[in-house]
Amino acid sequence: MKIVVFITQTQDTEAKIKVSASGDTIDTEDIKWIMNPYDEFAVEEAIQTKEKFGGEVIIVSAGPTRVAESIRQALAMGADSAVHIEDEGFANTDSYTISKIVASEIKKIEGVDLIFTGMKIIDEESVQVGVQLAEELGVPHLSLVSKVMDVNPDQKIVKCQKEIDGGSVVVEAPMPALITCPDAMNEPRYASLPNIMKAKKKPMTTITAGDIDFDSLGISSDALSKNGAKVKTVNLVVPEVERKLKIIKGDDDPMVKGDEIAASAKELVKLLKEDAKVL
Amino acid sequence: MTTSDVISKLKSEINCNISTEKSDLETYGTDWTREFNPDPLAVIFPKTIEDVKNIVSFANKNKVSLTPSGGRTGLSAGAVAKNGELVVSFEKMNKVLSFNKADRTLEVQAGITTKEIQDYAKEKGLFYPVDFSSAGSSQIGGNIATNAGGIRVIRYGLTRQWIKGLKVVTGKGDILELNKGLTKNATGYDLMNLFIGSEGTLGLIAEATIQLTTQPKDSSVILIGLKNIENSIKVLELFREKLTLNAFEFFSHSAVKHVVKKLERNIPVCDTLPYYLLVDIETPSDNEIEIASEIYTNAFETGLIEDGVISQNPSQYRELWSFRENITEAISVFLTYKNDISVRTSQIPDFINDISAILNNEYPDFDTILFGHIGDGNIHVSILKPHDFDKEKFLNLCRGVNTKIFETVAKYDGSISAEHGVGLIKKPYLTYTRSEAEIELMKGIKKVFDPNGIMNPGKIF
Ligand SMILES: Cc1cc2nc3c(=O)[nH]c(=O)nc-3n(C[C@H](O)[C@H](O)[C@H](O)COP(=O)(O)OP(=O)(O)OC[C@H]3O[C@@H](n4cnc5c(N)ncnc54)[C@H](O)[C@@H]3O)c2cc1C
Repeated sequence: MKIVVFITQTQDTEAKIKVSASGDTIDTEDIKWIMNPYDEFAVEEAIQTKEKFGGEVIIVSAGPTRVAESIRQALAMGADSAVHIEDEGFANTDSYTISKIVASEIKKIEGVDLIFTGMKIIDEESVQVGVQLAEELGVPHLSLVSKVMDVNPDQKIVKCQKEIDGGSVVVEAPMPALITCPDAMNEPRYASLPNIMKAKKKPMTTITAGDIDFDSLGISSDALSKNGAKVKTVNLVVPEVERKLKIIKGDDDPMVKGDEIAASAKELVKLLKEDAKVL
Repeated sequence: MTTSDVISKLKSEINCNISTEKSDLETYGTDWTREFNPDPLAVIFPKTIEDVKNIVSFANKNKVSLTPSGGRTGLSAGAVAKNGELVVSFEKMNKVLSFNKADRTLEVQAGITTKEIQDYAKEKGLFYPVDFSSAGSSQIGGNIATNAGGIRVIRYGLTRQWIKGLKVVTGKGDILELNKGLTKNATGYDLMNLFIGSEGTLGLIAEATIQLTTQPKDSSVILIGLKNIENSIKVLELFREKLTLNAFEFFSHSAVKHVVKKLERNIPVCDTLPYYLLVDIETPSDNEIEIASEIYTNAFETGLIEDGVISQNPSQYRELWSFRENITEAISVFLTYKNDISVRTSQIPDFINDISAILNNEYPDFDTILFGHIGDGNIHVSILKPHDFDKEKFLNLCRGVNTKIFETVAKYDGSISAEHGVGLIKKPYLTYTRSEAEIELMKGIKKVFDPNGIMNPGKIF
């Protein structure tokens, strides 16, 4: 059984985001990149599935050179091999182009039964790639899965649990099938140091834009660029926050205790009276 | 003169904000310790070094004692005013005065917070390396007065190493400009360094020149589980021989279990081991990861370590550190009796075994936790009061056992206070690790700077 996981990279969640001078992208100079957290759940779920039901895990990613770092992380976690579709243009294109190209590469892998990916990428939140991939591959899509319950490689059936408002449902689908992974689905494992070293020796195939037949995929040859993307980011806006908020240290603050809370309360009353004039 | 006479005289002679509000007296009259009841005369908020000088001269004339107050995160009751002292709060002296790019120095007023200095340095593409979990509130003046340490001492040293100049007002009332930003200055006694770690007993620190440095390169942190503490320093040696260490921290299982509960997150290594290490290493390239991996594999194969993981991205780096950084906060729901003690790094394993034996004997039923900067030979010992146990009985029991702990510290030629100062809390135990002759000399030095004994009386000795 072959299990594919599609992963991407995103800015570190603690990074300070600055809009670039052109206004339609972010300044990436000081940015650190991490594996998209939802994709990390997908990698973990795929490895757990392999551990329980057998098979091999293949990581597929599309993006600039830096993406290799996150691929290696996935290999160190326990994936077996990887395909890196490498092009700087992936950072500027849309999910339609990404899905078309990635699906065509997944199709080249024989005997794939399951495809995992994060339910969304946390940067621009288009929440489309998983769904589009399933469409392009012509396979059923199980969304917001909380647990893979059973996989039967002989009968080619996967059974999953999904959480719904006030309960859960069990769904099943014929394989191959694509599963998108929601927040907190599992606890992604840390790699051990020896596994990080072993990961370096695991096979990683790199494909470049030159290897892609844009025509047969029905996308224009400049699809891997801002111009060629069907959906373009035109403008990024950081909301102007008018700092009307004044924070008075209170109960939740670890540096505040007993008598300081009394002082804080007093200051609050004073400000409500004198500044806000609501009392 | 009655107290209210002194206060009205103070108000008429000194042009600073002065508060005698009960809540202010209670807030500014104490620090993080809360063992003593604050009872200051008033709280005064100077804005400039001239204000500070005026306050000292008033105090000398009117026989008023002064207690300097920084961010009040001190853990030795150094900033506690319990005998009618005038509290001098540096809260309003919080400005950056200048930045010198070529010297990479920053001149600041004493009330700026440690975090503000770190952030300012970062904005200039530089780095202020002193760091600990109270950095958001503690002030540089308080850091200097306690010679604060923290998590990066193993690589960057204590606060002392980053101070290039001080402007102080002595207890006598003189303004001294000490060292003036110089790197080299071989002209007699080093008065600046006397003020570092003086806990407000010689004078008031009004301004400081801070040395900044190059930002560290990308780093990774390794979490390691140990079966016994003997191996900890062997692991330190192995990593230090080949890599640049940013930090080498440890915590006991009994410490981390509180963090696991608070964060609702499991520790990502075998969670039944008694000791854990956090090894923070600089990893600018794969080469360092490879070296770390070789060290790890060898240590694992020879049975030095039981389990371990390494951070592979910034969020994992933060998460692994969070198990160490959240200890103090996780146990803050308990009344905690704290000791902060040090020995030479090489003696840490024997020392921890001896201390653990005392704790197990004396407090078989209490939750006792160990953590700290063992790369610097420094451990924090915390004893948690069970919720249903009487407070006074608990404190008395702890003070009783201190004798045994400090006898052990003395046996190892260690220190009864590694980085939190002496203040009021450790004062009764100073003689365990400083000789009578030394203490007499310290008292003599104080007399020179503070002939009337107005500066933070009763602290240290
Ligand atoms: C959660 C937590 C973690 C901590 N971790 C560490 C750690 O890892 N390492 C460490 O070393 N400490 C640590 N501490 C202790 C504390 O943060 C340090 O001692 C810090 O340096 C105190 O600074 P402060 O401004 O809060 O000083 P305060 O508590 O206000 O005062 C400390 C002493 O300095 C004197 N003082 C303050 N300002 C001046 C001034 N301008 N002139 C003269 N004297 C002055 C005071 O009179 C007092 O004696 C920790 C504390 C907490 C609460």
